[in-house]
Amino acid sequence: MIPLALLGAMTSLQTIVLGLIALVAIIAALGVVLHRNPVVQGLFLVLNLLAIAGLYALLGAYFFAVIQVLVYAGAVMVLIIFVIMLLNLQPAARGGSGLTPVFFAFVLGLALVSLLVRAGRSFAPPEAALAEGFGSVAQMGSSLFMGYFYPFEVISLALVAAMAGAILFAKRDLEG
Amino acid sequence: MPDAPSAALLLSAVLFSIGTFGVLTRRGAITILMSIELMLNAGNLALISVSRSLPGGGADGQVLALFVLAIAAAEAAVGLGLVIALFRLKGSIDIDLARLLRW
Amino acid sequence: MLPYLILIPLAPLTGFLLVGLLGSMGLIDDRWSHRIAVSASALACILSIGVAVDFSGGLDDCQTLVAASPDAYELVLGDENEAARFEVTYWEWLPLGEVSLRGWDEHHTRLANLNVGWTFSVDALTIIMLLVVSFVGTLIHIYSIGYMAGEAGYYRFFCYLNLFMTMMLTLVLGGNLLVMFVGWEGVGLCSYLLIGFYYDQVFDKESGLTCADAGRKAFITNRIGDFGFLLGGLLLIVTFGSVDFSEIAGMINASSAFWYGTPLLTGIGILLFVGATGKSAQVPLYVWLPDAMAGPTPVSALIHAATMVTAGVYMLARMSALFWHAPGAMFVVAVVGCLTAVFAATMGMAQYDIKKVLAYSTVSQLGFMFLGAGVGAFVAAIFHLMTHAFFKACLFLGSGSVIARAGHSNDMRLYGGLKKWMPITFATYLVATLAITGLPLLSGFMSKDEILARSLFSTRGFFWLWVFGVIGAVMTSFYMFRSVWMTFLGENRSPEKVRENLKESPRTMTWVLVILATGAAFLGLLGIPGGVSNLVGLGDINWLEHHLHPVVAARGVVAMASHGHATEAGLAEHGPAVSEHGDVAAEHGAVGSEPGNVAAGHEGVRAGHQAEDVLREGLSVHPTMGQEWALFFLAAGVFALGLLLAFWSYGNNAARAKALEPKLTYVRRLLYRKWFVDEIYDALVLKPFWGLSRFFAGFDQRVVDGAVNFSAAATELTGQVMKLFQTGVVRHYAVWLLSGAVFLIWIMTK
Repeated sequence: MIPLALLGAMTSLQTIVLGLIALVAIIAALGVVLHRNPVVQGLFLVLNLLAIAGLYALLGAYFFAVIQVLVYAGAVMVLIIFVIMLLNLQPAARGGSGLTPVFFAFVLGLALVSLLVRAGRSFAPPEAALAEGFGSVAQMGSSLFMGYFYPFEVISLALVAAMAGAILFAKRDLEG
Repeated sequence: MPDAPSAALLLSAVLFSIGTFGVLTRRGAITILMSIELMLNAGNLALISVSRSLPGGGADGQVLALFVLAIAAAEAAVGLGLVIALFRLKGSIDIDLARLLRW
Repeated sequence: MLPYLILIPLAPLTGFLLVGLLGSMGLIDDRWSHRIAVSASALACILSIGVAVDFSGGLDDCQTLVAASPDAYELVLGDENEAARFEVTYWEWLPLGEVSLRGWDEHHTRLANLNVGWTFSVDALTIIMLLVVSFVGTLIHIYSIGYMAGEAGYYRFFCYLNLFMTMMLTLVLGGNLLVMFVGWEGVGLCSYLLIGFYYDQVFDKESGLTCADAGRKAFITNRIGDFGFLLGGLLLIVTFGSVDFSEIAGMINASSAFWYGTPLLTGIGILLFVGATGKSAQVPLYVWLPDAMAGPTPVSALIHAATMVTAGVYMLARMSALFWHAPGAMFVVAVVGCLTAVFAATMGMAQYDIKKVLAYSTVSQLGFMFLGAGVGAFVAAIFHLMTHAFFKACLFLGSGSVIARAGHSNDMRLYGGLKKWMPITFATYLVATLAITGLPLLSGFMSKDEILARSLFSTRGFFWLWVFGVIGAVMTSFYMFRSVWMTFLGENRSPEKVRENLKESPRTMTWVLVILATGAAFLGLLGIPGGVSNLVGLGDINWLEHHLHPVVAARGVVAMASHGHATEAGLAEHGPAVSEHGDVAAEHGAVGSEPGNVAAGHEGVRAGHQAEDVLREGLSVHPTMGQEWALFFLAAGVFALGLLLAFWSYGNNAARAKALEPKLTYVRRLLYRKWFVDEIYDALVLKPFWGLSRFFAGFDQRVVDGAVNFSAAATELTGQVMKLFQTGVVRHYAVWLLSGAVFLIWIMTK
């Protein structure tokens, strides 16, 4: 409903593209959440991620859009779908988890979305021109390796730890 | 009249809530994992769209989003490891089966 | 030997540690236990004698020692104002530094240097006590070898005995109140341990009192006294900013007129005396001593007759400067002492347990000592302490010898005619009895009658004290001869089996008895009262008086009262001294008025008035030659009267004793049951205390425990409710998590 309402208010080409991308992202997200076949869910997620990457590009964050496609829609999703295939998962049974969780989820989801929309509305971005070099590799690089050097290193540590943890969990027999 | 960043913010709110809905309603561990990825992405979207309008070139939001991305990758790796372990143990990835840790 | 002073308590301490540790590990047998313990005690005795020889040889030799380290040593050669004294501070014990002390009003707040050191001090009084304690102590160690032979816990006995020696010597040597207090409490601990030595046995079959109970009774009764002692000590610290005996005495003597008769000094004196009533078994805290007889007999002899119980008298003599200036406190001491002397004697007359007779006798004799101290006859009190240590130790050890041979029974009704089997025990017991009852020229006569004479003629004494003292002396004579008759003379009443085994005790025991009996007979020669020696034209040959008097003499304004010799010439002589002190008083007034304080000015005036009172005190009665003779014959008469009474009721005529029995039933019963004092205490003190304790126990169990249990129950209830949230279903946790998130967002965007 909200994207439709927005759509009516937009005129330029950019707005139309934006609306389309948003529509695709929402439909893909609903597909992830509602579809019963894991493989289809995974593909919907890929679609969603790609849509968001497009949105990034539209917002001017070109580098991040590329990263999103490479890392998220590429590597991470390959991993997920690989595991789905590996476990040979069957589609979930109908009826799923009953009405109570759905009710709670609905209430919480609605509350969340209304609150977030209200919060987003109150956020009024200054109409400033896009800073020069926004979303470029140079900007990201200098920022990462100068201002955010230590957090960056810590993140790499976290990745190593996660790797070790994943191996530990997935390994069949620790002694072997 | 809403511009691109505001629309992206609203979209991120919607996507986050959909992800939440998925986490709360689904029982398949991988589905939940994917719903969480949805939520993280919604967060990323909010970060990027807001960072654009912030003073200082707007690199901060992108860097934070990059960190979130890295953590999401790590989380996916560990989460999938857990899913495999659960599957091996129970023969299913129904999250409701893993409920031993209770009073 | 003076530089090696610390070895005196250290020797028995080493013995205690060796015997205690090695004995409890089973590394030494009984023989080595007593060898170590006896030699430790003997070493202390030899060192004490060395110290005494050094001290009497003059302190000049110590000059170089003192000059070498003036911080540690203090030497007073002795003059008009101070007795000769040698003091060593071994280490800073409680270095409290400068302490601000609030006096009895805000104008006497001042800084005091409260660096309490571990100080040992030697003067004439210390020497006497050292010799008595270590000598009698060693003899009793030796006696115990025979008496305790074959007992279970043999090493334990000797190790406690050595610890006791350590503590008693510390008490005696202590140069300040706190060191003395360490010894004071230490001997109390040993007393407790040794009374309860046979902790698994019943002591008093009638009341079901066990030996352990008796130990507790002694300990707890002493706590009451020690509470007073502690209060007195604290008041002393607050008042004088010092715990050092000589410093305090110096301060009091220096501004004598100012201090004289102040309620503060009287209060301190009475509080300290409360401590003495506990330790030295005076009315009303004497009740523990008769039950302390639950301990082995050597313990009764050493701790509960010769040494520990006299600590109170020693403490009073140590604090004599204070007591001289607190006539009110001295009056209390004298009255309580006199009362105890008579009261305990009445109970002693009706006991059948030989040790209880001696116990009441001890209480009574201690009463005499306090009577002496209370009327200012400190020398006589210490003299009596000394002679008493010998004759009472001899009596106790004699009774122990009898008990050990007579089938371990204390009941005199089961004795009789024992002199046939135990001649040495009988002879020594008889000598000691004659000494305590006051056969003229034996030691007890000298010391006791000196106390009685002083209670009549001293400025601090008065007629009724003397009258009751004499009555007490008659009773002493009676109950002691009664015990002699019942035990050693007449027909033997022992069971057949016991009679067959009757024989004299082993030599380790008998020769100790002989030494003590010799002491009991002749020790009196050290302090022949001036009155007695004057009678036979020998002049004043009272060695002890010369030796001890400087330590306990009254100084300052009251000096003239101490001798009771103030003639008109004396008055004139002391006139300037008095006016001088008047000046001192005026000075105090001036000091007080400087900060514009009127009250202090009044104090100065009051002090001036007191100087007049003190002057009047100087007018004392001195006995004439006729009075001296009268006293002498009276004392002999007292002895003879008791003897005759005992002979009449317990002597050769058994039929008369039988006939007398029913007539005296009620009196005897009253006395035998000790005036029902234990029962009265039980009803007045113990029962309410138990009730209070039970109330508090209930309070503790219901309210205090209730609060604790309630918080525990509340915690558990919370847990029981909260655990319902821990379902183990991940989704439920997610719901809570997201609910929280929603709530937070709502709060933040409101």
